[in-house]
Amino acid sequence: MFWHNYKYALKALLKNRMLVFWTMIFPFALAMMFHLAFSRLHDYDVFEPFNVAVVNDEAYKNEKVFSEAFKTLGEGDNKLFNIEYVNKERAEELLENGDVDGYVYVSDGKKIVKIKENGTNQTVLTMTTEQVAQSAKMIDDIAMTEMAKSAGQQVDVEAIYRDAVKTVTGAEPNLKDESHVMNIVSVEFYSLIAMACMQGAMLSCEMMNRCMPNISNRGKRVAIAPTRKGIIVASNLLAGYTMLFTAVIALIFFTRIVLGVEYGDNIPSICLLAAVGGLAATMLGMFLSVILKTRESAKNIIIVIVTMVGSLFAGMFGVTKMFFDELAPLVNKVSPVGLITDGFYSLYYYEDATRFIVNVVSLIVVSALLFAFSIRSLRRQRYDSI
Amino acid sequence: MKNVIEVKHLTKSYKTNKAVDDLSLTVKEGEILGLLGPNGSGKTTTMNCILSLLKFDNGEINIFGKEMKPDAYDIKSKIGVVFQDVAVFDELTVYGNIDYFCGLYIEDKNTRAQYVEDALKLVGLEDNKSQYPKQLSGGLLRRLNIACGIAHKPKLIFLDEPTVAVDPQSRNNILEGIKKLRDDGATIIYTTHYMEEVEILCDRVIILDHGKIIASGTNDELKALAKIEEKVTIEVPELAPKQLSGFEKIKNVSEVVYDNGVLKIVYRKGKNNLIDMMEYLKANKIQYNKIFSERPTLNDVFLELTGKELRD
Amino acid sequence: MIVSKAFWKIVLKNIGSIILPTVILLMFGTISVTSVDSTAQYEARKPALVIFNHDENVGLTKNFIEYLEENATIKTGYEDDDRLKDALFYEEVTAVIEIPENFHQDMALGHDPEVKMRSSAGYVAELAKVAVRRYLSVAKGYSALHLSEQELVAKVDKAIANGVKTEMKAAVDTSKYAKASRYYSFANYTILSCFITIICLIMSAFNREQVRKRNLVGAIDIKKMNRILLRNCCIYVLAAWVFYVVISVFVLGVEVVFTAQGALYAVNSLVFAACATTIAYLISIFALSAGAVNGLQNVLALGTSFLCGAFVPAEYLPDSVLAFAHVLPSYYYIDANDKIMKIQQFDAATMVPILLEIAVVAGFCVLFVALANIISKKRQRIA
Repeated sequence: MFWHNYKYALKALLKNRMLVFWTMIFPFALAMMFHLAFSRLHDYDVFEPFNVAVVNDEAYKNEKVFSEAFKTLGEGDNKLFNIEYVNKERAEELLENGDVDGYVYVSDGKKIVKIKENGTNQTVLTMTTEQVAQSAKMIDDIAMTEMAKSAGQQVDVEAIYRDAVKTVTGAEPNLKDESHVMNIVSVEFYSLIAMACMQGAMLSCEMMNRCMPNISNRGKRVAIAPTRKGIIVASNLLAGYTMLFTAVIALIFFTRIVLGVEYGDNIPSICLLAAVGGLAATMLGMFLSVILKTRESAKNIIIVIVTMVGSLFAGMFGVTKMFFDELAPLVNKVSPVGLITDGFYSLYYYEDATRFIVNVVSLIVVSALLFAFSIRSLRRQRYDSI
Repeated sequence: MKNVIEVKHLTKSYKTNKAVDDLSLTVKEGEILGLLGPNGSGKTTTMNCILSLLKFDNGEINIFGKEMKPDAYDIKSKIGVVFQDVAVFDELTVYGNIDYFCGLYIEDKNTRAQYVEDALKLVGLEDNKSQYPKQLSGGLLRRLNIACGIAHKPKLIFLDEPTVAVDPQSRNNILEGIKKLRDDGATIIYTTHYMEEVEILCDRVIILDHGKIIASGTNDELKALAKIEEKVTIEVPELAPKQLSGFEKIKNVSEVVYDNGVLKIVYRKGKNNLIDMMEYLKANKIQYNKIFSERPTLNDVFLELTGKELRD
Repeated sequence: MIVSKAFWKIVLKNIGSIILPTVILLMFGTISVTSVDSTAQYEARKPALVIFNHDENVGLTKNFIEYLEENATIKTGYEDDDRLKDALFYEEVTAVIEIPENFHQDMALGHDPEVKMRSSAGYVAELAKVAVRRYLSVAKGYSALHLSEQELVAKVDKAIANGVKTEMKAAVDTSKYAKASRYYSFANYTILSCFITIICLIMSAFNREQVRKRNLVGAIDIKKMNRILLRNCCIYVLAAWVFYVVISVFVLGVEVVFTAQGALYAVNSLVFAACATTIAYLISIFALSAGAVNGLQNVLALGTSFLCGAFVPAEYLPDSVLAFAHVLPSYYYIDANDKIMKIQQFDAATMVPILLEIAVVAGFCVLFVALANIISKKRQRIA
């Protein structure tokens, strides 16, 4: 009986174009859009050299160390800029026409970067120029100090400068970077997987409606059949969950293999989290479907609102999860979306798995509670009106 | 004959509205019982209460001698229901739908395959089995709806207005099918507001109004309640008032109405009333076009009992 | 007249379905504009640092901290490590810097003490790293001279101060309108989803098979009827647009909305709203089911928003995507928003490209209406 119902429930699901669209096509379409939109962000540390002008006048040429160092930035395979040496008027013209992102000139020994607007390239230009200017100043400074020490003696200016350059360029700061930096693109894809899991609420609500006599006529048929309600409900939900789980796992592998999203070696954990997350969403849909005594369309709207608010609290709409954690600490501890996102976050942010396991267990507990409560109010039900 | 259903003092209200009011009825094995009443008279509510779909305020319901409850699966397995609204999966084919709903009752695959074929034959959908519900016309969809309800060969069948908005051909097919089910041994409860169907089909009729039984019995028993023997309608283009009053003096005539060239005469009793009428017409040289006589209908019964027409 | 009356009756009947998505979308739209989202990090922002100083606050250490204070906002209250991790993840804190014990002495002696740093992802974090590295490398470079700590501090200070001056070509600050651009570009999503959902809902009531047949056999010219319907859609849209602009006053402030730029944004969005209406109108001819409209609306609104730079700024999109985006009206709408943001003076050179883009969007309107008329003419005979 269980498998008879399961078979047909699954068959009917796969034939339902709307549900197939939302669970099996929409997340993939979104993934493609994410991929297209973020593909440049993905490798934003690989700079493409951009155009910069330098006013190559006497003042600039006098800054020997600076001009030498700056020149190297426009050379080689890893060059930062495409440098064009021009006069001031031309530089101004280039900037005006947008042919260069900025130009550098020297006035009274001060290095000046002129730009038209704020942007990444402009910041890179400014900061790089700053760094070069500083190094040049230090090299001069150190060389002068060395020369002052050996005042009166015969000095090899060349050698002193060479040493000074070595000192400055070799002054690699002892900065230990302990950041756990997650590619922001992967974070977006984690949100996408969490969203795909939440489709389970929609699916299970639909599956529940099919066996509830106060919602659908088919539900009436099921109610008068000599089959236990529990069996019908369970096999219906399993069919919905099967479809959801398949879609979410397919999504994970699609993003990994086809789109090349970096998940590290976390794939098994991600799949586990998606599995329990999908389960919790399924149970949430069941729960809402059972306790809400309204029309089918109203139920759907309420489910959309509940998942949207959950997603909002989970930090998917810009405002951070932290903000809501302080506002209403409990919500994200029980909301499936909150737990799924926190699970993904803890996956790569915490070395020990405790927080991840807590999230997975919480999801299972929440699912169990929702299931128990729903079943309780479903059993031996006669309705006030149908 | 055994009682298949016994309902005692069933009462069900929706907020302030009493949908079923202290209703008691019995259904005997092998009969087709018609539940007749206007829209909103409580037919479907009664049925849903009997099926344990609805909570009710008061009363006792026994089916096959046992109390009916939501988890009375042994009783449910012998019941088939055809709901008023079409209840099928749009995503499944005709065959798939029947097989699915039948499968909720019959586990054995081979038996089920046979049963599904039988159901298809009964409703005449053999040629449509791989079509989807959306591709069926209204009448065929109704037939599918019926097939889904009765494919498991139930002993007791509820049919809730299965012929609403159905073309005449499908309607005949459906009514024939129901008779066949009865002949195969099923007990049938047939809910409708079409009195003609009840007259053709039902062995016994219960007339409901405002959730109460206002009459019950066989067709003839009910018609006796109407206190009408015969109704005669004559088209008379012209009629003098004096001639009109003459009609009332004819033997057995109890009511005469003349309106717009149509004369309606009601007889409460007697036989061969038409002969006297013809003689009167001849004697008074009254011109007439058409003349016809009818037996009373269940509508007349309803009119007699409630003072209103069965159909609005 | 009778057509218009029916139109507004249907609108009133569906008022719930109209208010709900509008409120939801506006809520999320407003939140995502006012909050710090991932796109905001591309604008120069001051990093927010947390400093754990295990050293005494003297000498070079004091100088280092002062330098950091100058270049960043220092945050406190993150003793709990989990909270700190959250803060880093959500970019509430850009980086954490841990100064080791005896930092000032070790540095002066050239011992090269280790400074620990944990940063969040993104551009601001990179800036913070550069700033910290800069200080440390200057200090390390001068420590090679074996100076006293006092002299070292003086040298470092001088070198750090020897910054580079940045000149802006014109004094106009684009950041004033950055938020407005984001609001209006996000409206690409809001306008498309709302209008498609609502107009399709109303129009499908007219185009549903049975009703459509009745309209077709009616005495009214189908073209005329389409015009009347379209006109009523426009009235509805106009009301919604006014509503969005009024909301923008609250979100962006009077000083942004009531300027020439603000007016341009409004005009641009009005033309785009008209375009969205014609798109919705075109879709509605096919009388899709509510579910299908919902799916299509999501794909269109999200798709164009992603591909044309409503969510991720266009300058970060791959060229191939942008090249494709040129066939979508959203691209011209959003690009015009970006151009409005950059206006420094109102002359032909700045205005013409913007007006051209607005004209392109208007051109799309004409195209969609023409298409709609051709298709509905074709569908005049039921297939």
